[in-house]
Amino acid sequence: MGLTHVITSTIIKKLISMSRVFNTILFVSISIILGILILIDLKTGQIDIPFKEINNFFSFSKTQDDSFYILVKEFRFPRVLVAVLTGVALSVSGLLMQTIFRNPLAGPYVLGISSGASLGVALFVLGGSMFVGVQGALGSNISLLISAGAGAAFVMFIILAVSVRVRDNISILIIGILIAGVVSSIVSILQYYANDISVKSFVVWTMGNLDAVSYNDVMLILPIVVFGLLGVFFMSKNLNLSLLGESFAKSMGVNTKVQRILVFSFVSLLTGTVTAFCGPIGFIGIAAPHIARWIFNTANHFVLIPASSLIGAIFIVSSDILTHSITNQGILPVNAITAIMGAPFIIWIVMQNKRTVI
Amino acid sequence: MSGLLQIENLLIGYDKALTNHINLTANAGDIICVVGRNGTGKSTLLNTLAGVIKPIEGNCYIKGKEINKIKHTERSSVISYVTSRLDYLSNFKIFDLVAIGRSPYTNIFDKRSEKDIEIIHQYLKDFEISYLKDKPLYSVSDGERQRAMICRAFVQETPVILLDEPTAFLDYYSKNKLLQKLSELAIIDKKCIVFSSHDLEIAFKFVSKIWLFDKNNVGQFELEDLKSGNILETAMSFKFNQTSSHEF
Repeated sequence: MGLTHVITSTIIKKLISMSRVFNTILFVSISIILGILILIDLKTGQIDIPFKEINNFFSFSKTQDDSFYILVKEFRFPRVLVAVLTGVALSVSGLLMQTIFRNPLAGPYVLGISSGASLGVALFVLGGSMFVGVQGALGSNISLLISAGAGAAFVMFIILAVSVRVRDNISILIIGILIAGVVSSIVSILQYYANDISVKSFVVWTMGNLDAVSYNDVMLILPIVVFGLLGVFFMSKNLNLSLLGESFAKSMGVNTKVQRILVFSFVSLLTGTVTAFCGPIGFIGIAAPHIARWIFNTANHFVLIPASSLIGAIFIVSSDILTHSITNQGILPVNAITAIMGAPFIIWIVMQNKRTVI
Repeated sequence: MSGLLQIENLLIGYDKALTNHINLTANAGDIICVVGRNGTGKSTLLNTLAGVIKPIEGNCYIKGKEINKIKHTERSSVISYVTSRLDYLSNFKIFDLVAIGRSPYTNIFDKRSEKDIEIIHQYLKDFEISYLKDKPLYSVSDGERQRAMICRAFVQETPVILLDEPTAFLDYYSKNKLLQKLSELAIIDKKCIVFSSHDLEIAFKFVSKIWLFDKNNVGQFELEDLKSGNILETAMSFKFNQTSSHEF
């Protein structure tokens, strides 16, 4: 009895430590892939920068060619930083939504949260030009942030309210699509009345653009995303309990009302913030958590939150590389690339039907 | 004089009350079967006791404390609950599912102690599901999932355990085995187990008391009381002598 007990408990400890080691290996490899992609992204653009110069940037040594240094410092580096933060924010939002709705098809773009942010921005940019006579440009960053956040929160609120009554996955999806439709009609109407300059800046914004960001934007996005990520990470235990349904979570002592409000706030904050600066970027939020589940083969949020963040970052950094390398003439919209890469995932998830798990 | 689980003048339901006022008592070591036709409110009663829904009127007390006034985080260390709904699909491993039972006792990062892990393995063995521990939840059968959920409730180590139709997805052998296990745990570990079931023949072999939903009234009966009268026959169209010939 004593001996078998000792043996089983050692085996158990071995197994647990083995799965930990395995996860660590996975995390390290994914981080290395992200690191390499970041370097490639820094290199890629209308002007190709040699790796040596990028290395110089990271070692803070200005060399013969200052223009490379400035290019990396002032343009490429903030672009990559914002790309990574956007990937993190959208995939964590997607994971949260999939868990709280217990719906593998949920995500900030699919359920219209990004559209909501667009509506906020449209009202601000286009509506502003109509009524207040604000000319053209996208206005101050903070007011843009607030309008996008408010728009995202507005749609998230509708979806949450509906999800209390409608539990069917596909129905919620359809409602998300309808909301996106209504939003795009409102935006069309606004565009019709707005002046040319603001319409142009709005349209460029909707295509998703990581190139326009500066360090000032980074200083706004970074603390918000870090705060959101930490906040969500501290919710992991209760999110795990919520995977098995709301009444189960309740019976396990989760305050589901508070949890819904927290998820609502974090999703609106994260999605609203990155959408304000980069435009509505689709499909990362839905795809990244699924890839994370698939690679790590787990439902545990303590693993899934960092894993989805890294994979979301990889996803958008590679999209960014593609937007800069497919054509030499300017850049392609990021949104188009993420859609081409991400939409097949949604088709795959729908095809899996009942087998899809969250 | 109050029991471990005390129900006083309780009205249950979502908008409208489903029954008349309910007054029931359960003690440590009791294994109670909740019996009634479909839709009479058995699940609603269990949901109310588990604190998932609020009562319309009246109170339930555990160890003298009102259930809805116990803090969320504390409640899960007093009552564990197994719902009858099995619609969740997740790639939770069975081990992790059962391990959820320890979550009332772990910190915010869900760090389990060696003792926690020992308890989990002990119950996995008790419920004969050790072989499932590395399988993801979506890949096991309904019956296996049901047993894992019940195992989780025991891992929670609460004085009161509520089970909504625990035998629903099980085969005949497993039904017997499960109820036998439940009654052992009730007697040995002095737990108070309340479960609803439609498998009356099997359930009545193991239970000590019955809570019967008869039209709008809920009453508490000893098994012997039911055997002598025709209460069950009028409420459920159930006759005892049909089953007395079975032996296991």
